[in-house]
Amino acid sequence: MKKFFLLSLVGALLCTTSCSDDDNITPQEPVSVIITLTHPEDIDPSSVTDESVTFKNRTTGEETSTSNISEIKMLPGLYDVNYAASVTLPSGAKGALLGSKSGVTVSGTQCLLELSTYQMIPTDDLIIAEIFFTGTQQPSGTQYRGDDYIKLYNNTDHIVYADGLTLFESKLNTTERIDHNPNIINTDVSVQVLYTVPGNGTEHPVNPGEYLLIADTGIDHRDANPNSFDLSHADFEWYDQSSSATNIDIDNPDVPNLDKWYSYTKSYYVLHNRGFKAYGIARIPIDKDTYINDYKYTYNYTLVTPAGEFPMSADAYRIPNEWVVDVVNCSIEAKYAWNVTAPELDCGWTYCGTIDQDKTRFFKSVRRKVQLIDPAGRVILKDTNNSTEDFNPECVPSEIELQGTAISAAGDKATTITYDGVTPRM
Amino acid sequence: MSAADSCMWQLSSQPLSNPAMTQWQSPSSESVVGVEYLHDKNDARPIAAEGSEYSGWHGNANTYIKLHDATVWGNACYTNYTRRGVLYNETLHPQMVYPYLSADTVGGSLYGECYRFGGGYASLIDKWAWGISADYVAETGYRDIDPRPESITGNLHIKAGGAYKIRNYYIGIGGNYEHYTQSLDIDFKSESGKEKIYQLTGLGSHYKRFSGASENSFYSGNLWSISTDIYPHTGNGFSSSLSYQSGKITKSLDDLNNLPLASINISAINLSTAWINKCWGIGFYTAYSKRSGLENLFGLPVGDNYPLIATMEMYSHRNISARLTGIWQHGTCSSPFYISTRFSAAYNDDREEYDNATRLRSIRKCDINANIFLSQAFNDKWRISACADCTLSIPTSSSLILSGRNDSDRVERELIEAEKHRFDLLGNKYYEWFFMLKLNRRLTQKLTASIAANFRQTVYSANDISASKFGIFVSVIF
Repeated sequence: MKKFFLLSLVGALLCTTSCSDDDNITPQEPVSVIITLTHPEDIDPSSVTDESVTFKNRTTGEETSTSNISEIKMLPGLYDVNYAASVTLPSGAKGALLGSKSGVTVSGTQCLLELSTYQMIPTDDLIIAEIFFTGTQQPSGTQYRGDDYIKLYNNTDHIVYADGLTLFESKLNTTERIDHNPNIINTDVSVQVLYTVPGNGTEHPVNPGEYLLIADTGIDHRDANPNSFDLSHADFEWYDQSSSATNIDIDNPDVPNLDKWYSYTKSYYVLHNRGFKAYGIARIPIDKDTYINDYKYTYNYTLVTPAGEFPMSADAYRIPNEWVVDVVNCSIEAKYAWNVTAPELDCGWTYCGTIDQDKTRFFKSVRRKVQLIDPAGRVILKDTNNSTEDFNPECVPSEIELQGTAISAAGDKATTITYDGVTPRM
Repeated sequence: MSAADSCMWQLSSQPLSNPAMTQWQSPSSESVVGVEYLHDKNDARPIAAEGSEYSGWHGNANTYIKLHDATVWGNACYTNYTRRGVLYNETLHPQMVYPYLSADTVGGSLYGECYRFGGGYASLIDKWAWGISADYVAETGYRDIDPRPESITGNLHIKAGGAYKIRNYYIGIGGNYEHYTQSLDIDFKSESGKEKIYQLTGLGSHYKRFSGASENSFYSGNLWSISTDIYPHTGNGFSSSLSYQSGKITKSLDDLNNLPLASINISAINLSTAWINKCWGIGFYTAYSKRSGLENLFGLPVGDNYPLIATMEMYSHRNISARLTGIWQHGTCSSPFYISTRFSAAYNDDREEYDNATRLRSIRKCDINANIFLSQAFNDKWRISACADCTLSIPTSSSLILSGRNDSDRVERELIEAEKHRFDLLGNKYYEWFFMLKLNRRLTQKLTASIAANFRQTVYSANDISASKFGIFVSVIF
């Protein structure tokens, strides 16, 4: 009987030890992160002060900030890193340095992080003030299309002419990272839609503190959807000659059309209704034909699926970063993978809705934050090339506020008017 | 007298789970076919994932047949149920896959069906006894409004055991293998879009990165256990069982290329010992169990291919319990008059931790239980049985820490409130009483009809909310 017991216990112990999975567990110990900064050539490193770095843990959503960038310890994980500092320029003027890197893997015993910084220079042109890409809903709850719009804003203290300004949409999605070749993200923006404001250079002035409304379809949408609003006062609309008889765009002759340079779709173009793209404006210093001929961009990538890996290629156009005036990366928290533009153009992202097909996203837009209102009453919007910091997400769209129209499928009306979706107008 | 012929089986049930020893569960063949209805209403809802109300019926058939030197048994069961007020949970068997539940904040009812069938065979050859058994349980659960989870589970148990007779005792060793799967698909029919599906990680936390990223999950687990058992083949004497269980259940997200999100390592040791005879018995039971939750961290994906960065043990749930039970009885279940009383005192130390105890729930408590069972036969045809039972649960110390809370995260705030509510109920004194009445009518020499009804009520002192459970069981025994 004793032997029997002993054999049983020995068997139990052997099984216990042989099935242990503990070998693969990573201890919950912080990892040293060593940051190597590369500043612009004309910046003297000794003139850089007030450095701070923020790590946002994508797994937990927690943010950790520190000003001691030489001694950073973080728990293993995937992080989005943002760097900020003050700099004294050779002229003696004060400036700001920014840098960012998304999707930094912190693991092992040490993490080496190379970060390029750039100098924040205020834009002397129009900026994107609002993007309404989600659309509205019919009273039945079905989505209504065509009332999406983008608002530009003159944030300067002088008249800016919108003539020649090109509106674009990125080719790549912010929700799906691909290893593509050639990868031009650091030098160019790959785009799949380009519409340009017509004019000879002085036809479409925008005064300081004024908006330029660019609509998908510049009509009173309340005729088709009582929950929508009027866009017949838009400054411009983008119009497409559709090759699909069942998907026809509407052209309001009273609203000037943008000059269509290129669009990937053969029917009509609408903004991505979940916001998986980057939207921007650019000043392209060459004519349309030259651009269309010379700036095509083809890239190869591998499509990774559960069924296997497949070599793919895709066509787009490219806009050099120097031509880009402003860009806003949009995404959703549940699927955000990367920014599809260089950090110096935008080192953040904004959103309406947090998951794919989020039912709460309708009747909402992203609106640029108010930085200050000057003594003359002119609103200065925040523009730090970081859409996370510069934009209020999930706002009531400004056109809905101004017209007091519906903010839900049930038809509840907007009752407040704000500068930026948050700051109430006095 | 066998274990089944008295209430002594309550002290020696663990050795009898070795299929080699199941043949001593009853001295004679018996089959039962019955239908049961259960209604459980718990407005206090200590565990939100299990809902506030359960109603269901099940039909089952069990048979236990003694052959010359062998015993065969089998069972089949069908259950149809509705579970109402389920919150923060889309899965079936939340206790099994906890803490890695998929959850939404809408909640609602879950409708389910369960099919169970199994059987076993045990034989006696000279001094050797051996036995095998297999059971399979398939269950499906669904909801018919958004979000619409549809879960399908499969659970296969295979047991094998052997025993050797030494004097009055059989000394055995048994092994048990369990394979568990649960596929969870959540669908949305609304034209306007979806609700966010969260991947919970325990004690009010959730895996933020993959919130809303995958509606479909798959759980797969393998568990095994071994035991050594001693059982007196006359039903009188010393009975003991020591078992060890180990296993792992993994959760993967189907929509992200079967991303292995997390896993639960399970280990448990149980020891039961008892001394039983015809009139009285005393038993001691102690158990230690631990569930460790391992979360995988992933780097930047390429397409849907997520590289693994690290695996971290974030969650643990440890439970230590001990119970001393004494039973006295007069007669046997087949005597004209039978009475038994049972008293037990138990101690339980339950501790859950998350993220190096930044979140912690600890409850230590004592349970006192008293039970009386009476059975009286009238002439040769009727028998009436009644049972009353009362349990008082008194915490000796309890603590709850829920730090590291993200106030901007609405769902985390809600989950933490649910954790506080659970702690308020279970971390304070509560008592439970139970009453059962059963009537048997012998129809023929080999056929008996039975009807039994029971009622259980739990009263939580934290807010004087009570939960009640009612059941009625109609069966024929032959």
